[in-house]
Amino acid sequence: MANPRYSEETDESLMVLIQDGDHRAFAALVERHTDRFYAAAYRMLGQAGDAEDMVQDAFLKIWDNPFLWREDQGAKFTTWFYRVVTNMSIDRMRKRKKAVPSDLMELHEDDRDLQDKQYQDAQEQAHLEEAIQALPDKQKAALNLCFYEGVSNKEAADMLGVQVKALESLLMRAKAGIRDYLVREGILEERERA
Amino acid sequence: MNDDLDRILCKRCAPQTPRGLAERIIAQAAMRRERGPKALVNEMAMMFVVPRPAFALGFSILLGLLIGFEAGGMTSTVSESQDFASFLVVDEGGWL
Repeated sequence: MANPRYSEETDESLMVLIQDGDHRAFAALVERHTDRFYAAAYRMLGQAGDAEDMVQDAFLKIWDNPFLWREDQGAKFTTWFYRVVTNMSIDRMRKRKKAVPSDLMELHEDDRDLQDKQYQDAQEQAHLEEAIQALPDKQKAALNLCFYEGVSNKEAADMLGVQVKALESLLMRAKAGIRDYLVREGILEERERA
Repeated sequence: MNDDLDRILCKRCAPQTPRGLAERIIAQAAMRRERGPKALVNEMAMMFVVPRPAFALGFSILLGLLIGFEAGGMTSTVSESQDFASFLVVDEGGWL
């Protein structure tokens, strides 16, 4: 459990303490943010095992090189760490090359005995996940950051090293790509008829 | 159509964090904390560290007092002269 003394500190103060080698500050930061960054990594990579390894690597990178975060640059820790996680995810996806079926894809294979509605939802989720995982890396990162992580367009553009206009274009193309995929799979058409 | 797509996007599952992930990361970091001979010396020094010195001291004093009171009845007062004499005289039991 996090030490109460550290739970009141801001992320940035914890980072300063981590730079002094304070392990309890590191523990507080990890406990505070593991869920959020695991979710971000999972959404990028689509695989639980990969996401777990990646979040672990990202946090240990902070511990090994705490001066990668610069207090004087005025960057919020979460913004900076999203950038770290996003870049590490893109690197990992590039190494992986071929899209690995996401864990969610296994859901509809195993849950055939679910009631129709649940089965339909599970299938919809699985197709959505497949569509997102099939997007180019930057489109996927843009969608995850802006749509699911609640990062502003400007921050997301900074993280991905593009202009805001370019980010908006990435988002539009991502949505168009997903829509095409879902139409091809009959998910959107079925919903329109219903 | 966009509304429909947004609705599907919003329903995307939030992944469940694996149990104990944060603890594993913290433990990994603790293992990496220090490397090399300095770590060994520090680890040996840590063996002698008393976690709560004030409690340990208080408890030791209390325990000492208790044992002292308990053992008080067993001790007999022996004068110093008698004590020294016992080294000089050998008691052979009187059979010679």
